[in-house]
Amino acid sequence: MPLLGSLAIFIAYAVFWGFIFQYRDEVKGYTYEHMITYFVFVKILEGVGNSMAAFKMSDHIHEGMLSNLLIKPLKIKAWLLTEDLGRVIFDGMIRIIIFLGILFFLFGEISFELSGVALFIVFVVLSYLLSFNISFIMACFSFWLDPSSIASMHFALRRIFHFLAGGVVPIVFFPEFSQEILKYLPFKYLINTPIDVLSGRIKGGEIGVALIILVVWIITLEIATHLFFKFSYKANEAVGI
Amino acid sequence: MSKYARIYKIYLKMNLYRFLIYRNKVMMAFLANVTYTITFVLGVKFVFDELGEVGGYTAEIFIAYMIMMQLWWSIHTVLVRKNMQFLAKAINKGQLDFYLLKPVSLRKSLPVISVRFVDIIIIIFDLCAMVLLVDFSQFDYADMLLSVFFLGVGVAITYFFVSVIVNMTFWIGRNDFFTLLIGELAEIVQVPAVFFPPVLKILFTFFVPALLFAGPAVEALWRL
Repeated sequence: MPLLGSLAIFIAYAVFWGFIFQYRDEVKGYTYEHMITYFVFVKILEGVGNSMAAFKMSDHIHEGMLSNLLIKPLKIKAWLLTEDLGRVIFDGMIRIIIFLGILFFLFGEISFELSGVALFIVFVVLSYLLSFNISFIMACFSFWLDPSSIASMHFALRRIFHFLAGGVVPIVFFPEFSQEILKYLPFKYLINTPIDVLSGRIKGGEIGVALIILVVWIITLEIATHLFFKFSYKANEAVGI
Repeated sequence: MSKYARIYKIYLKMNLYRFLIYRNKVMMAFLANVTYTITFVLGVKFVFDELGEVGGYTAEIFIAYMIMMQLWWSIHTVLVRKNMQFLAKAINKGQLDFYLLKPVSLRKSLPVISVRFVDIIIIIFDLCAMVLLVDFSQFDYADMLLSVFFLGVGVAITYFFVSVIVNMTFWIGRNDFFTLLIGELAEIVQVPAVFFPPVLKILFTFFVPALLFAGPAVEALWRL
């Protein structure tokens, strides 16, 4: 169903922008083709970046299964990462086939520079790690909240992150001052920056700066998740909630 | 009639207690709705700051349309979706007889069996958002009444549409997919009818009437 939801939202965006580009050739540097390509990759990245670690951890805690995972010769975070990665790769592949198929159907060709594609893959891997760490922090709240509250919190925060990542409108539409602030926050590196790298809208030094900021955020969140898990684990009752 | 009034009262009371017990859940669900509203209002504002007016729609009208869609969604969740899902589940689990054997009409008690009070709070929030973000002094009372009437018609259309789908459960077994499809339809028609190409407009008006859910209610206000 999430895939069908993505497809439905994509249709809405395509209809909206299709209408607008009947009367304009360009909006904020985007042509119709650029805009549709942007949203095709938003929908692909939405699947890749949508870590479900919070839900998994919430289930384990509420079913009293966390202890079972803690005695395995693998850290719980690594366990959740491998479990989540399996789902994300499969979901991502299906999205790539469907949405690139749509792109090909609409424009008859798909062409990107090889260096752009290689950098895009690097950004996608890093943005997944960022997304996973954010989800793991949410997961730690499962020690205090019930699964449906975790689901609502996940939905609410994801919605905000998705918006700040450029998933609803490209960041270039945001007011100047918020664009400046977003440069130093992790969100735009989840969606907007990888697409800009792929489409060649940012190049050279800008890519380097983006990579540094992204890596710094991943390291910061790695430390934060480690500390927060140690703190929140004290609330674990082992028998479920 | 008093028999049904008593039944309605009991069901509503039951659902109210459930709502009061799971307060955290309610708060989080409310928060999720608030973030949704804030992000789409900002998104629409950013885009329309750049575009001005599109197809007769300004940022204000577009925001009103999206809030009306949310209102429709919440009202349909309270009155239609949850109860129809309940009915489909009863058919799937073989529990329909249990309800049919009772000395009350299932169809008449269905609207209150599974009322989610959190959606009623969300309806109030959506109404407040509408009042805050839309200048109502530009409309006369007749337009506003017509708008409320069209919103009611939109919910009624959804009721009949979902009823047909849920009744298909008798023949095709589990069809949760189709009931969930209504949610996806709502995503597609978060863009008003005027933006749709003619073929899709016909499809979503006459065959799958999704453009009638909330669109006419907004069009009545601005006489679009």
